[in-house]
Amino acid sequence: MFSMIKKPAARGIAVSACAALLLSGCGGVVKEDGKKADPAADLPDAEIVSPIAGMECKTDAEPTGDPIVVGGSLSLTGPLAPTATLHKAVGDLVVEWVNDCGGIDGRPLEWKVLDDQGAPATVTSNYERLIGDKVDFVMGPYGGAAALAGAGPVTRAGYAYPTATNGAPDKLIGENHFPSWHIGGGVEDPTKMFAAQAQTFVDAVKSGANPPKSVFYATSKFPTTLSYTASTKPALEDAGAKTVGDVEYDLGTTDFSSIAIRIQNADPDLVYVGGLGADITNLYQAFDAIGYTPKGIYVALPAPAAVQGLGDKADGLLLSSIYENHPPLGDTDVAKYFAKSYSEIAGKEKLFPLVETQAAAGFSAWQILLTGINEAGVDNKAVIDWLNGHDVETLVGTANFDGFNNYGSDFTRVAQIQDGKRVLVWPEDVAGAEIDEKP
Amino acid sequence: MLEVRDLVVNYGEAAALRGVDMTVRSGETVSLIGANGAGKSTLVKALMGMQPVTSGSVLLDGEDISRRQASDRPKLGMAIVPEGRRLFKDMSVKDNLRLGLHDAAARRRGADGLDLAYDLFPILRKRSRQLCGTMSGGEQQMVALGRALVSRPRLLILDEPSLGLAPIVVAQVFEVIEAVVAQDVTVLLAEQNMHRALSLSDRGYVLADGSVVLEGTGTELLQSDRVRTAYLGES
Amino acid sequence: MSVSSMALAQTLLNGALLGCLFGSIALGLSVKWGHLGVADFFHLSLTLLGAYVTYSLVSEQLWDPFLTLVVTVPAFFLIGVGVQWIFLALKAEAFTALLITFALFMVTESAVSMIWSPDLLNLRPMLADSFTTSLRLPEPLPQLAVQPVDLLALVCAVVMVGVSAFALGRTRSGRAVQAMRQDSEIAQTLGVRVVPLTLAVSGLAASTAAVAGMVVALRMPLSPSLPLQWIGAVVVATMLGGLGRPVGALVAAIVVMMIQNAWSLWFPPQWSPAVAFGVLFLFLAGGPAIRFVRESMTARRLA
Ligand SMILES: Nc1ncnc2c1ncn2[C@@H]1O[C@H](COP(=O)(O)OP(=O)(O)OP(=O)(O)O)[C@@H](O)[C@H]1O
Ligand SMILES: [Mg+2]
Repeated sequence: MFSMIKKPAARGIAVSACAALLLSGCGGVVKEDGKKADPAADLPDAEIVSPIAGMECKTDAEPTGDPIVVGGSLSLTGPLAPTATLHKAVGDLVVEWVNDCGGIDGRPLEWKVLDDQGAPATVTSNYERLIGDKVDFVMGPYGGAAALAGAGPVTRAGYAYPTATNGAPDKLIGENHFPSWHIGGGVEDPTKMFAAQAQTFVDAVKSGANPPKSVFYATSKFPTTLSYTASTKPALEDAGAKTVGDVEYDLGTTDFSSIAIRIQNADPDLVYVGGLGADITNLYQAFDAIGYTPKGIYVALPAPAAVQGLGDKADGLLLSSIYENHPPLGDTDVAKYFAKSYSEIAGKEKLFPLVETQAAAGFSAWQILLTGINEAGVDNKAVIDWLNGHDVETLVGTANFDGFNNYGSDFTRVAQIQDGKRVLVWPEDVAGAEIDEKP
Repeated sequence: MLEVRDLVVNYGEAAALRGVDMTVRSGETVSLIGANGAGKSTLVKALMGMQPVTSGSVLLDGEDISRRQASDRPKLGMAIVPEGRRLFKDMSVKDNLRLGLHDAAARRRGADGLDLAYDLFPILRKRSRQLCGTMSGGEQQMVALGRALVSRPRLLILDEPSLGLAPIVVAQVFEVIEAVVAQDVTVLLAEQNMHRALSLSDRGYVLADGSVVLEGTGTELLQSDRVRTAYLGES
Repeated sequence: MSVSSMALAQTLLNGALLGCLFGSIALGLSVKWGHLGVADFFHLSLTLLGAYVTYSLVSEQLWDPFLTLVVTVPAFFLIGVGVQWIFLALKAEAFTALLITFALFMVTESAVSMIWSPDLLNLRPMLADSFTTSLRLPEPLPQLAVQPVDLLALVCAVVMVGVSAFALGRTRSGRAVQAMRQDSEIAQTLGVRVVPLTLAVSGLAASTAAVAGMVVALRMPLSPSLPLQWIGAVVVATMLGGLGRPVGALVAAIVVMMIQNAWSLWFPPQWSPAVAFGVLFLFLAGGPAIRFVRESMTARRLA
């Protein structure tokens, strides 16, 4: 046994030796000022107000009587968990908020979430179960496929179906569908659902001083990102941006070194990354490895934490967004209270602490549902009728449900990281700054 | 030196040894003969701790070793040349021989190291880097003998060392066994080749269906008609 | 698309260095699979766990990453021993063991996302610039860049694989491990103590996951599902390299990653994982031919 016991020791020595070698070669491994800054540190304090228009916040009244139960299904575990956890946090926050405001018509709000692990079949059975349990209302799940899977039982039972995510906006759900993240507003042709966001993006890059003349596309093989790229590429080409490269990669790819080298080789004005989650982090890692800095870069659906994690390197990065926490949208009392309380709950759940697209969409879906209940009472049919006939003020803008699949005007916007902060740069009416394009 | 008392070994329900008694005195060479399936290998395995015993005892110098682990055998001074040789085929000749000296006690006794084996079988020195799996049956048997002998065991147990070998190789193997016997090593030799086995043994036991049916000196047994006809199927 | 030879060289270099990381992971899998007969997918989870523990110790306790090894290596040794002890206690067959490691693999993913967060964790922003900035290779190859962390991966891989190969092939215990795999019964009669040896090998294999995990934490953003991304390359490298052969696993991982990267330079990158399996398939199919050539060559050499 002697040599077996010697082995870890030998290994330990060797590893420390290589450590010492590296440390002496290039200084320490960890930065002196190790800890990262908290992006939510300078959020202003906010007073509690009613989360929706048309309702009063009575902080001194305890809600009483039978609760109004909202049922939902979320992928609390499994691959979609990172974002679904965020939607769970938003729901928890809203319920507490409403009850702090005295409930709805004096009745407490309650929310019952089942875990679907991201499996569409489980989503369907979860909603069947919730409806069987006679919940008063439902809230949509997270993820495009899940939203479609839940639509069946929800629509059959005559429930209103507020949703916050739209991976497949061309799939018809029905008149009971109330999306908060409007994609393809005004589009009647389901194959052109992503055309409006593409136009917004083209307009955004054209609004700057140096619109790109060459673009390299790298797209994750995921339905939504493929749709983004498929509609944006012709729009950019029409606007005079030559395509100098176009690759697709598998969902969950972590090694981007060859793609980075291809990009370096083409050296485009803009790298259009139809990526999601951590793709951007891994891509930057690969850029770092070859010492390349892209001239301009756009990412479709990056995880906020991933962008945050890039630090200074993210400056100038463009991304799709429907909301960032700044005026004008972020200037209302509701937005301020939401931002503050969200940062607290997100801190506890170890989520990105600022309100951005997902949290804003989640909250807006609740605003839509609550407005419907507040105006039409605890009755799904009445709520559906009322919402179809009225506009709703939400965090992300005025929602109406007039178009294909009940979508109103398109909410897809373009944001940019400027001086370490996320700001909307297009369209002008919601922008907090102008787009910054390097020559 | 070795005393087996009323040893019973069962494979599940089936009895393979039904109460075997046997004695091997120090310095003696004892043969264990019997037809296929008589239980020779089972007895050998039980002695080496490779096969759990159901009841009875195995005394080595008065100590019951029947429940001790197989890995204690080198310390007790026992070594085996197993049936079918069972070399480590993906390893070189040299590494196989070295494994004979894996145990600290074995290394202490076998101070000559691998030279012992190389001197007995000079060809192994030349082939020391060859993988055992690629060697001929005779060469493999040499490695198996070498692996057991390098530790200079006090008690060497051989299980059918001549099995499957050409007559000329068998002769060579038995020459080595005779050389070992000439030193003061105690040897227990399980064999079907009774003539060769008994002619170099002091005594022998005949095993049939898990029991000792005859014992005696080598010459006695060789001359016994009963042994030939009844238990070895010879006519 | 025209690609310069420099781009190809850079791609191959990147692939080789990433291969070193995968080789370090494959090392433990290969040793356990080859010598203990357990295809231990939990080894990948352990690597992930090592990465997360490193992340926490570095980001919260502000430890030096190398210092974390002082904790993780012994801790993982004990975990490795514990898991193997369970197999021994249950007298688990290879298939049962596989199921158990697979269950542990799934459980770890959930546990990691519960303990740390299902979200992405990235140590990189906290690393010194000198550690994240690429180095340029010296004169003859002035345009090739390498990351310091990749050099670390290289050093760790070479050291761990070298030590393992040496220990297996050149030490008494290493030979005992080989013997035990080939014929455990006979090995025991030669004095090999199977239980402690098995536990020690499992423990050491697990300790390599601690080192590989540290490299992972420094090298890439962490998410609980990472092992699913590694599994293809790691399993292919393990099998290509020959089960139980440390050097083989490392070389195979390097070759596979170089091929994958070169492929992605010209062809659709989404197929590159399939390329690794293609290589494995060709190798398995070509195996008999290779063996024939090798045997006839050995025969000639011996003649
Ligand atoms: N592992 C086992 N499981 C069940 N039965 C066994 C096992 N090994 C041996 N036996 C049985 O035990 C009996 C004795 O077998 P053993 O191998 O000891 O005979 P042997 O005398 O060595 O024969 P041979 O000369 O053919 O080697 C046989 O009936 C055999 O079938
Ligand atoms: Mg036999």
